[in-house]
Amino acid sequence: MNSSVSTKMNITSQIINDIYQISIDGEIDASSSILLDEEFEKGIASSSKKILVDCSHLSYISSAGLGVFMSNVEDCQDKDIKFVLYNLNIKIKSVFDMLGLNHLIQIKSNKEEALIYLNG
Amino acid sequence: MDNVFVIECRNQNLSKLRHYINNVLDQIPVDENISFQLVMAIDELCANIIEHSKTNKVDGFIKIELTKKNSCIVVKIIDEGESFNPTQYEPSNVRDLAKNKATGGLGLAIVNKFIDKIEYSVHNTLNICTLYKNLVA
Repeated sequence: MNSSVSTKMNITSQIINDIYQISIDGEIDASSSILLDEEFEKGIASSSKKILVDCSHLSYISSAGLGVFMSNVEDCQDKDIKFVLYNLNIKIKSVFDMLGLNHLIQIKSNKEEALIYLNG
Repeated sequence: MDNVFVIECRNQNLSKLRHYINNVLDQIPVDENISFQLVMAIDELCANIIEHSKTNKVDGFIKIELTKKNSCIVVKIIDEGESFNPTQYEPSNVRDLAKNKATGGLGLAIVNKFIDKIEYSVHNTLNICTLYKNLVA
């Protein structure tokens, strides 16, 4: 398991059942988005073709964090990698929707739905 | 009631800034959703100023003044960096941004969606961006 800690954000990752699982705890902004980017790149570089992002404890995300997801959409498509976010709080989900990112990125309301998408 | 906050141009200060603005808005008090939108817009504009200051390798400060006027929150964001007028922003299509693997391009879209009116002016060396957020629909 990898772990990177900043004052307001903790991000962990592990591979379970061939799914690269990333959990975010805290705030992703211009300062901490680099950690998410690094973790996401590791997921893409891993042998897994599935990335699952747990946003249950994501309390804030600025455009820098949103940009990490947006900029990886193309790479994931090219490499046939499925990625999905789940359990976003209502305010954060509203930002994805407002920007139209919900049309590019799979967002599910819970882990079960996210796994059905990945394994479908 | 004037609330003034000054930060050094560093990304590490954005979290402190957001918590300060949140606390000030809580005390007014301001609806949770309006507060979230305002904090996010201020965060995005300050992150832009910091990004430009890094590019230009200048150490500067950002001053944020927050006032409630009638049924509106007025926020002035003042800096001495390179002028950048957010009112001249042209929206980018997220599909195009994703295709180009862009990490940026979303910040000003957020500001424009969340803020009711934006003014920008330059006075001598100071850039002043004024945000107006209505407290009632």
